[in-house]
Amino acid sequence: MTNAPLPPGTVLRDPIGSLGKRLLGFGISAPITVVLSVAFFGVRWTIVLALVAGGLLAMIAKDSLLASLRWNRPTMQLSSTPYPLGSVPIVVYRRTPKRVLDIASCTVECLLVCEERATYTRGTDTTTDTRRVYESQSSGVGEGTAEGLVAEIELNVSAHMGAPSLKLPSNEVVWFVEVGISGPQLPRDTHRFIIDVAAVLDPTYRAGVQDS
Amino acid sequence: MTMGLELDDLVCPVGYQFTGRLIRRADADGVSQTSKARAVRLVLRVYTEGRGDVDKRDVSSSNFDLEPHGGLNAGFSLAVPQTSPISYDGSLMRIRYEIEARVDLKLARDDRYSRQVLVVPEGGMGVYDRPHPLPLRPV
Repeated sequence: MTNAPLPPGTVLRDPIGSLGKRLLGFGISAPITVVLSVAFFGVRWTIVLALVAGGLLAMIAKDSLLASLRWNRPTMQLSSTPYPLGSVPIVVYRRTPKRVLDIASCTVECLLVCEERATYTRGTDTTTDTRRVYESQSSGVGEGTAEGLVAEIELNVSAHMGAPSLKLPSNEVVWFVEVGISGPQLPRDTHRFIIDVAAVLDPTYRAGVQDS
Repeated sequence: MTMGLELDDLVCPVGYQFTGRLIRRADADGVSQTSKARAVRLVLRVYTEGRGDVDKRDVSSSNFDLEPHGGLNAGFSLAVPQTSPISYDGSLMRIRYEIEARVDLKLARDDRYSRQVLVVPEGGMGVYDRPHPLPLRPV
């Protein structure tokens, strides 16, 4: 992780979710599942089921596990103020290896998503429906520096789809960036970073509307 | 209709305020007979529609005492805080705003009168004529 001071007006954001939390969840749920399985299916079938489940989990989590052994968790350098609608900000993605590594140039793929989340209650059940109302793909060139892998990525915060970030008790609008890297000897996992979008129309966008 | 709500503009950006006049016609002479109407509470309210449960809250409000004859002619302003959501037509949800005038009537059900209004992003005056998002062709 870098100790270099951040440029003024920016913050460093960690990705949401982590492998540690997932492993903790697995550690809690696995013994309960095993006890139930032994009670219902017997020891032999439980071993078979555990092997199959373990194999499937290893296949699914392979990329995350390998990446966590060799790389630190990434961070994203964002503006400290929320982004206006219609703006085209540039964010900086950073990831440092755990050991000294020669990092070749690579492509950092980025998907900006605006998602609506609506929670409703029917009887005693509470359900949350989600819908992606905006997606925008962009990419940046990642380069090896003294601070690890660094990539600048341009985002396109639409004024025509999605809404400013919003959190009400049963209705929510969330913006996040999903980032993955492709290149030899680079981790293949993806991470999500929450970004904040303000109820402000970007001045450059406004000028464009008024000119047309 | 004894109640009137005159707005200077139906559109207001976040961080600014709705302004206008609240008018109520007298329904008594105030000497031999006093009006049943005692006060008016004016509320700017945001609420959601759509798939999720309804979220509803009062954003700002003000109270007006009525004359003994029940009449009122007063200017008002209702602030829209910077952190408020904007009017929105989404896929799973819609966000709506209304200004409601509720007349407190003595020993009777309160009289209500409301108007839909539009809250737009900061810098959105003259750009929006409907809830966010903007249409693909600029308005």
